[in-house]
Amino acid sequence: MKSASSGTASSLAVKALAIACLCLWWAAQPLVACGIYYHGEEYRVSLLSPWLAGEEYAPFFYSAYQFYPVNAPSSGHDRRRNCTEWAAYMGEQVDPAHVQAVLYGSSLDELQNALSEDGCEGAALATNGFWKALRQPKYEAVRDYVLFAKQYERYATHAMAVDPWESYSYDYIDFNEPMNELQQLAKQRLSSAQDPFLRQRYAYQNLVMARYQGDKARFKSLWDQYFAAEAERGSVLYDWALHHKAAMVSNEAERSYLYALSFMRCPEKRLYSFDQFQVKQANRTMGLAKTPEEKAHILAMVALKNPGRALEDIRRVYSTYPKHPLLRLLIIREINKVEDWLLTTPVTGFGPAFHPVRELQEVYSPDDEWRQFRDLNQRKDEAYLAEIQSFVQQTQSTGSLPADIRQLLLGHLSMLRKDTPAAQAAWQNIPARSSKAILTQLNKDRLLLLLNEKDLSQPRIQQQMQSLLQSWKASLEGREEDMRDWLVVCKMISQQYEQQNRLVEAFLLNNHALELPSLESYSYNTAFYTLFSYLDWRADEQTIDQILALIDKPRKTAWESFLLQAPLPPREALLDLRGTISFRQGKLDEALLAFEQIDPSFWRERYEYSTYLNNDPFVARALTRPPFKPFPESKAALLRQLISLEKQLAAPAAQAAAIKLQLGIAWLNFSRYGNSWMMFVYGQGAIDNDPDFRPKYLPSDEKLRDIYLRMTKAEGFFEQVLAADADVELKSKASYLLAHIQELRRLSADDNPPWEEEARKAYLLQILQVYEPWQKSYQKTQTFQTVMLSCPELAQYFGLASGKKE
Amino acid sequence: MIRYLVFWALLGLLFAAGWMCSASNHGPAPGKGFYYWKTSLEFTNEDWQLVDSLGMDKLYIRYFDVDWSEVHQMPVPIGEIQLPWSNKAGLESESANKVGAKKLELCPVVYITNRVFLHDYHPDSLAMRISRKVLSQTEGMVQNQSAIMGLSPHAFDEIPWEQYDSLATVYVKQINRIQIDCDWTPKTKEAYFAFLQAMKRLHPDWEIQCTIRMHQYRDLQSTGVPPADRGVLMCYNLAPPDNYQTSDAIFDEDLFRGYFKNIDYPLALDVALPLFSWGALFHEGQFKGLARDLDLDELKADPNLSPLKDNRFRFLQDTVYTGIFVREGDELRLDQASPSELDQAARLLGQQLPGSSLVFFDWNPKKIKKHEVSKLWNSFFSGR
Repeated sequence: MKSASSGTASSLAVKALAIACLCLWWAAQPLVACGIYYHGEEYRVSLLSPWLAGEEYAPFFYSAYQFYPVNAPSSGHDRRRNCTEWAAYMGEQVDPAHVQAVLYGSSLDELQNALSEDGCEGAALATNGFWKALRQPKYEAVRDYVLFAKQYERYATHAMAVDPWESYSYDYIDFNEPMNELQQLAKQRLSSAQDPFLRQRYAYQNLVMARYQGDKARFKSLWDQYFAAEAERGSVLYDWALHHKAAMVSNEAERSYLYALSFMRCPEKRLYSFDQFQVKQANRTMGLAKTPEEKAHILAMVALKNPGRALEDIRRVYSTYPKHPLLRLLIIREINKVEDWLLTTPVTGFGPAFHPVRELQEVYSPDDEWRQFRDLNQRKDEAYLAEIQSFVQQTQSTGSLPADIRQLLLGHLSMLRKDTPAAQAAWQNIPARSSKAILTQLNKDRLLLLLNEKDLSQPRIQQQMQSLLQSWKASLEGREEDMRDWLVVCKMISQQYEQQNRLVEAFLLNNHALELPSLESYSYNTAFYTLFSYLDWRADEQTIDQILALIDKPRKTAWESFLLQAPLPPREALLDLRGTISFRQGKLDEALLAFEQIDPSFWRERYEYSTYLNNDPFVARALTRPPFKPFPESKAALLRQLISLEKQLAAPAAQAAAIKLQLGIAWLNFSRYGNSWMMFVYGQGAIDNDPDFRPKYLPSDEKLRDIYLRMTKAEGFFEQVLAADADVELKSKASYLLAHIQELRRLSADDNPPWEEEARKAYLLQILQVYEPWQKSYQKTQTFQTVMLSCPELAQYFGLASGKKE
Repeated sequence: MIRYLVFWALLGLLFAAGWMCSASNHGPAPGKGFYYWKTSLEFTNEDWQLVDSLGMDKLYIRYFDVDWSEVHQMPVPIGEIQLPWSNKAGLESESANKVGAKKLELCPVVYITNRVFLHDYHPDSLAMRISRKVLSQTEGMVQNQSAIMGLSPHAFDEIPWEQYDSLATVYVKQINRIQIDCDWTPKTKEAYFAFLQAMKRLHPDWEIQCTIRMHQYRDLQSTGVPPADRGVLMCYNLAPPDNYQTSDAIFDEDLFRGYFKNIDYPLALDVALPLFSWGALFHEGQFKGLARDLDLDELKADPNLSPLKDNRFRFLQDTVYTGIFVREGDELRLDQASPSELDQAARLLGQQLPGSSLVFFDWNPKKIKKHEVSKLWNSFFSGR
């Protein structure tokens, strides 16, 4: 046992320490410290920019499900229509923007103050043509309406704005005196209004009041009298009234029908209409549609609400009304879906990369079975891509999509299907004067097409990649999701390079994409380790040398310069990793060469893990009395000691046994349970021994796992000491440490030790049996006495409760 | 004159009932209850018949939830229970009147998200807002002449309007308890407990109840014991539903028994058992979502599903299932407590916590009949 208070307690303390360390390191994770996590369905890779469908549809992008900000880009659309109608009514002298400033940019107080004799108008109203007109006596009735509408707006929103705990809506309107007065006023004004424009607006205000009072009879009466015959006029008031009507009909199919119409006519109310539309009513709703266009509206809503394959729905929209305005959005959504199904998991690691515990795999779903389903579903998705492409091709005959968009989609689909000639042929027909969004997507697709090349190391390809990546990055307009698309593509190119065994480029491109949320970035990470974690367990010494050589290269190509723009670890960290890679494999001389290039101050002052390398690795604490020495001055100094000891192994057996014991203790300390484990890995956590969760800081190679987790290298040295013709005290120490390794293995193998006191005692006693052979053979040794003094639990187990030898 | 006599008679009866209720505050008789967690308070004639046949005497109604609002920078009420304007369905029935006359013991329940207590908001203010909202909602039920309140359909018909308010107030005052549901953590313990104390300060005559999750019951040293008059131990949601390894997230008998070892909880407890179910959907072991209210027999009969071992099923083709796109090979784990598990749990709880009431979550006539809830209550009370 290695601590002064060792024994079982110390072993458990190792576990506790591991948990504490894990908590500490998790807390230090800079990448995820803000608490933004994406899981499965919340994160979707989309190579085809959904913005091509039109900004106004942003809340309905497939990839917008949780990910894109739903900030209602259509905000203001309907109100602008209203302002245009107002401006037309007022005549040429009024600018719709001025109407907007009064109707939607001023409060009731501001308007009323500006009207009072001693009131002063703000600068905006003073120069507002609409407001100036309203102040004229001939527009008194119009002004009264505007003030009335602002008054209603204030009452209707007052309660909610003041205190969300107070009741509003029904109760508020029913019992609030000013609102009752306003309702009466609305009725009076409606009956007395002479001007058709104002009468229609009062009718609308009465209609809205009836809706929020739940007065269906009055609502119907107002609708029939003032709005039913207005359908053809194209007024925004009619469309808004239609939206309110949807809420007032009790027939579910009719309600869905009206919301489908509202979705198309009132962009500002689309989210609500979308939410209210009932797909299960679709067949009955279709029966209410009066024109093919209306039928297509309903079918488009069905397609839009379908989270699975919706091509059949889209085909029905198309065959019903080929020029339907939602077709572009629906097709892009469909392509984004397949991109998500095919790419999200391979690129980010979210999704099927998860592996459950083995027992459940055996019982429920062996990984092989999952892989079969994965392959099967991939084939289906690829076939589906072909179906979508065929459909897009078909739309050419009707001109449902603008030609440049259609060609872009066809090329994109060919690129996804890895059909390079077809993609290039499709893109040839895209004019250079197309919109910026189309040309940006085209560049992105051309870049992605390069991934189909067999050899990415060709200078021609690298030059194209650099040019396309940089021009794309330069054209980004600050939308977070666009930047993420760029990161996704960097990650994809990195993966492609890794497949072609070109780790230098793969590493640098991976670091370009460090900010991309991925399963890898959610596992153990610190800012320091993140910068080179990609290389840990992937790279060999030569790869590190190539990276260092590239950094030092005097005249770099544009591609190389671009690669090196990625966030990079300090040179010393790369050298430290290089030395560590050699060290793990027992190549001590080579490790020393790397470590020697690092200034010793690096480990003390700039090495993030300096707090974990501060104990003498040649000391087993249970066998040694304090004070204990610190860690050597540097890793290089430690390596020199190890190399020196190894050179002495050729000494006579008795002397060699002492050296082997020292080396065994050192390798025990370089293991998962030792005081210098950070010589071997860059992280430690409570789940290190769980075979189903393999943190990326741990080796996957079984031989290295044996050395680190199962302490086989240390065990080998101790066994050699026992087998040698050596001093009995040396053998006693070796025997004790072998028992200690057995104890650690037993404890680490048990996921769920009993926690009830009696059961826990029995469990621990059973584990301590591993020390019995040592006790039988070596209880007369000084080593035994030393351990008994430093380990009360073990002393108690052997009936030496006072810690003194009988 | 008759109208006045009716009024005073009603008032007298209510005061007597109120006195009896308050007298029973310190040691309520163990009872049989249900949570009502729907968003709309609608009891049909069939519901009332079921209430009558079950002999239940407690109803815990979720009034609203409270969550933190970034916009208002304060806790706000959400998901308020809707009180239909016309709630006469069943009121004329014999069952409703029978039960109404006996009266269910009502307890408003307010669910507060844990994150509310991560923010600095004055506990007295929150207590005030919640209690005002609860009283306002209760008044709404009285205005609605809801049989839930023990009102007959024409209770107010004969009452002069000027005396209506007095009578309504008496009805509202029948509410003398409140249950707060919050999954507090060691981090929010202090703020949450301060809120419970504030609620008690505000309503010293109310019984302040709170829900206790099983992990809070087990880890009472770290999570603390809430300063309430009474707790309801929620014997469900024992494991994370999004974990593929979980064998049953709602109820796992082994886990359940594990929670009951050597715990002497220093708060009077009632217990709640689950009647609900859900299907946890997984794609290659990764959680995709929950499909609510599933039924084992319906799953077995679904041609899209093939049964795997235990409570798991495999999807045989790509499909949109309860709004979620699932792929061929994806899996569904049905989480629910089986009738035998519920029976065992009821027996164990009856022995471990004598003096407690047994409440079920939540009111669902179909599930109530299927699980033979009366027998579960018998098991619970017979074990004492």
